[in-house]
Amino acid sequence: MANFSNEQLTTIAQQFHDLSAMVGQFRLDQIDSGKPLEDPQIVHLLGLQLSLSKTSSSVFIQAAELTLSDADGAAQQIVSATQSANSAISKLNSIDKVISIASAAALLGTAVMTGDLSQIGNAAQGVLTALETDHGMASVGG
Amino acid sequence: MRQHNSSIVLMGQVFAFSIVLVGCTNLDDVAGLTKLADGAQQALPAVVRDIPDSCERQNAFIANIPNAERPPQIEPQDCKLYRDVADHITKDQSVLITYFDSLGKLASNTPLSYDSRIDRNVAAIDKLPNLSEQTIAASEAGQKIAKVLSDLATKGYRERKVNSIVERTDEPVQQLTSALKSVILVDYSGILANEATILDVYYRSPLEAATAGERLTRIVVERQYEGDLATLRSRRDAAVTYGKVMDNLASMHHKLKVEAGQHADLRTIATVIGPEVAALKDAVTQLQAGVK
Repeated sequence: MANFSNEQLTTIAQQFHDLSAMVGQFRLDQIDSGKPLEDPQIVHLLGLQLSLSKTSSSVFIQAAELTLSDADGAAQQIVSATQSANSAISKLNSIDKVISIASAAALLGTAVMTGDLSQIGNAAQGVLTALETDHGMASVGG
Repeated sequence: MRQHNSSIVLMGQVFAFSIVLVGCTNLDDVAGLTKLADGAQQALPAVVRDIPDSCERQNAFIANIPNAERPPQIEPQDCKLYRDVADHITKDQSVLITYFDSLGKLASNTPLSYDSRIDRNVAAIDKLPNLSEQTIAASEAGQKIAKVLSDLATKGYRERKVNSIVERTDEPVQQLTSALKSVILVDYSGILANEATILDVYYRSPLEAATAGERLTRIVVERQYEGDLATLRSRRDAAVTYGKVMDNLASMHHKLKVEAGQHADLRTIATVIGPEVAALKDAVTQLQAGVK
């Protein structure tokens, strides 16, 4: 049983921060292209951006206290999934796809705070599945 | 002969006065702990006060985002919870500052007084999962130091007791400084990070949607945004400096404990902790400038 190391917590927090910023920038680009601020998808993206940001700012407070049977393995799954999501969103133009990936990442953020390895594993897999079910635009681990 | 006798009397008076001066040496004379405590008393509470203030600012930004543009999960927060935590932290922090102030006066004849009305009720802050744990830790350590302060005031401990006092308080001082640092550097910084995101959304969304014809309005709003960002940056910097102050206080107290354990005289102790006190004064001055 172990806790996440400070380095792992920093990396996880940074990954969720980057994801939030990426979703935020994607949303602004969509607004710049003419989508109105009250468009339901734009509003949805805002909710996801804030949720990912909150995960990032809470990681050091909540996840630092967790005791996991395999902290290294969990950290690796989280970082791998969020890095893939980040990379994919930076190349996407489809708002539906970005919402799908960001939603899966937000669920991963919730799972991280539970400290439950199977929930973290399932949620990380959920992010990868969201990437794989892309309409040929994003690649896993891209 | 009379002149020779007068010289001897004068030399004797100077010698006697010197003994009185040496006898009065205390940590405050040499290290300036009271002045340091005064500065800390002005600068540190301003950082803690911003915990609920950040909550209020975030609520104000959220309230100004039109409902139709706002996802349902973004709701104003209950800032009373943050205010309760800040109140607790302020009291624990005050105990720490009073302790260092008293430490400076231990060897002097300055009367020590302490009103130990520290709030032991931590149930009220139990509802804020993020902040509660370190706040409770700070409160527990603060109560131990408050007990020593009460003893200092009522039992008349003085110079000869420095050793036992510092020995008795070192562990809670280390715990309290660590907990206060964590509350500000981790929890409060997290709150500021959320504020930064809300600020970004509040300004950049309508700026992105604005048309080219609104140039003058854009200029004004962008300047306002820059101003708010600069203020937020100074608050983040203040949090980092606060962490340094806590580190320096902990380090200074540890050195004090080591020296007092070796029965060093107060002047030697003050010389050893001098660099720590100087670093602390710099950090406190930096903090005072940053939290205006």
